[in-house]
Amino acid sequence: MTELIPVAACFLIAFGIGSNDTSNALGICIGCGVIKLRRALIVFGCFVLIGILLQGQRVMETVGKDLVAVNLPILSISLSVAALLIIVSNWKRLPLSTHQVIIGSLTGSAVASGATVNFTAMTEIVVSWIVSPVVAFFTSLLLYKAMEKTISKLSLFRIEKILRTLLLFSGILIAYNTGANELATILGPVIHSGLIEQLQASLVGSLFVFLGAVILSHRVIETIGKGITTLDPYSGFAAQFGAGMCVLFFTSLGMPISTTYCIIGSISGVGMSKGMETVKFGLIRKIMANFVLAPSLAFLISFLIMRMVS
Amino acid sequence: MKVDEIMTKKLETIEADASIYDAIERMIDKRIRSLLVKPRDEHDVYGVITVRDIVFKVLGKNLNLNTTKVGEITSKPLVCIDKGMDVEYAVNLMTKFNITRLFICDGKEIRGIISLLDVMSCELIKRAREGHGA
Amino acid sequence: MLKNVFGGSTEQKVIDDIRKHIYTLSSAADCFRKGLEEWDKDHMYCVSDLEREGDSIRREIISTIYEGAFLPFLRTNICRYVEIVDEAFDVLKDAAFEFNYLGPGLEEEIREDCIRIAGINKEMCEMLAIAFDTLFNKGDLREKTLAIRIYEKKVDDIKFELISKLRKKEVKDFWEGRILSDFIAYLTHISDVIEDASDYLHIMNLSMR
Repeated sequence: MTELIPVAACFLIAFGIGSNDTSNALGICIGCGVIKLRRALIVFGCFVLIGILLQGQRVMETVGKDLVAVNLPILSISLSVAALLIIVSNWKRLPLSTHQVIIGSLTGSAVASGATVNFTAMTEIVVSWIVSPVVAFFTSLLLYKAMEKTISKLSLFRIEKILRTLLLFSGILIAYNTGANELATILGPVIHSGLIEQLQASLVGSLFVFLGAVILSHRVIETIGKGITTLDPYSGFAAQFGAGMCVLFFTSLGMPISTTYCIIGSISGVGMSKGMETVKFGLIRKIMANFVLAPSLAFLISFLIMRMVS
Repeated sequence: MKVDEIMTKKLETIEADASIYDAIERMIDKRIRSLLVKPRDEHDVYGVITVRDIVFKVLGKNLNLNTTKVGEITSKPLVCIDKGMDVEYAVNLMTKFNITRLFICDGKEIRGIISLLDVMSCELIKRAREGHGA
Repeated sequence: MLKNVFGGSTEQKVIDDIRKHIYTLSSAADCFRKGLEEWDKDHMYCVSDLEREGDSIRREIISTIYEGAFLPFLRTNICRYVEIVDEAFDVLKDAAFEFNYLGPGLEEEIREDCIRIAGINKEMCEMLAIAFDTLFNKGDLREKTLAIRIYEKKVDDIKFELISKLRKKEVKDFWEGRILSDFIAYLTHISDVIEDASDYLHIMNLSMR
């Protein structure tokens, strides 16, 4: 019976990312009329599934096996804590990274219960967290420059046509990453603890992501209503696609990282190329705070609860 | 394109014995850079006086603007072409004589004037229309 | 959906309608010029007819755009452009309206200047159409907008002379003076609006790079 707790928590988190990340991936495309909402959701769901089936392994291993030797209590507590934190932050609209919360709480409860934590893996992960936005920064910058040299030369309406296709691609890429990286991070621990079989988990997990997207899709519409960031579609694409490529790269290395932070890095990269700061320093400070706060908080809470239980 | 399509028909004239000061005043008020100088009598011909003439021959030499007469620095005779000539021909002529404006003449009558600015504007508009069958 | 992604029929419809819009303006300008040349008040009615047609094309464009053509970013720009061209229509219509009250005729010199301005207005409309086309062929927009500015400068030069001639004219009463003054004001304003439209195309072009 207690085996169900971590599994349930997992799927709950999956549901959470579904409601949040659809807007990341496909908000722009829907707003542009490139694709209708319903179709967008289906495309999103499909590519999440494809993502986790094709490339989910590596990240699942890193989180589920390499990092911590998981057992049932660790799993139950850390995943429940993670689920709680994520749901609260979703509800309060705080930008909290799913990855960081999960890894924080996993390590927290692991340390509290005396289980071994692979510090090499831990370091690798934290380094990835720090390095990935920087990589995204440069990837987008290069992409933007490349676009300037090629696409810019065309006539206006041709550029607009091309951009529409490109925006769809980048949305799909982000959906794929959500599956290959984020969903993999969530499902990694439960799969590798043997609680649930990989294929099953992938399918059900994707389903929950899809459900989250469908049921809370009004959020997507809200994002569109607010407009498309401070960047025009041209720079917006460079930022989004650059971030997507960066996440793909780290996924292939097996590192669980946050798309959101990569996007922030890439927006700064594109903004830099225009010679101005699009990200305000106050915002950066807030983000840095979250960066440190999220995993630490998750770690602490799991740690305490674990201690209390044992 | 023929010169009569882009020439300016409005010609500002001045008497040969008007002062340079009058000429300057006229040019500034009318926002133009040259004046047609009327012939003194039937034996005389039209001439032209330009801003270059005024600056180099009068202002630069510190001559008195009020006492110096237009007739003293007028260029004559005018370089004329027929109104049916092509613009390219006009440009060649301007290059050859190193002048920046031509007069379009019909016998002894001056019909219009065409300047470098007119040629440039016309050329640009022609290019902009190119490829559109307009 | 794929059609939408790869540039569908709605976008093409908007583009065709915008072309139709500017050609209608061109026809109206031409009709105005003819009416002025022949001093035919009846002929001028075509201007308001064409203006009404232009209005309905404009509404068509805007509603098609909001059905989902183009990226949102470009949508507002295109709408604004169409509104500027619509303004040109309105000014032309106002000039035609004043013309009806102008009386039996004008002094030869003044009439000639007006006809010249009307002629340049028509050429500017044609150039604006050409300029718009460069947004989706390989043409150089800068060249076309420069041509439009050259035209506008020509109108300005004529206007300067025209106004000084007008000031010397004697009028029988306030309304005769007012009508003539308004007519000339509208007539010379058309080129300014077309220049605005072409400047806007330039901005639109830059925004997507």
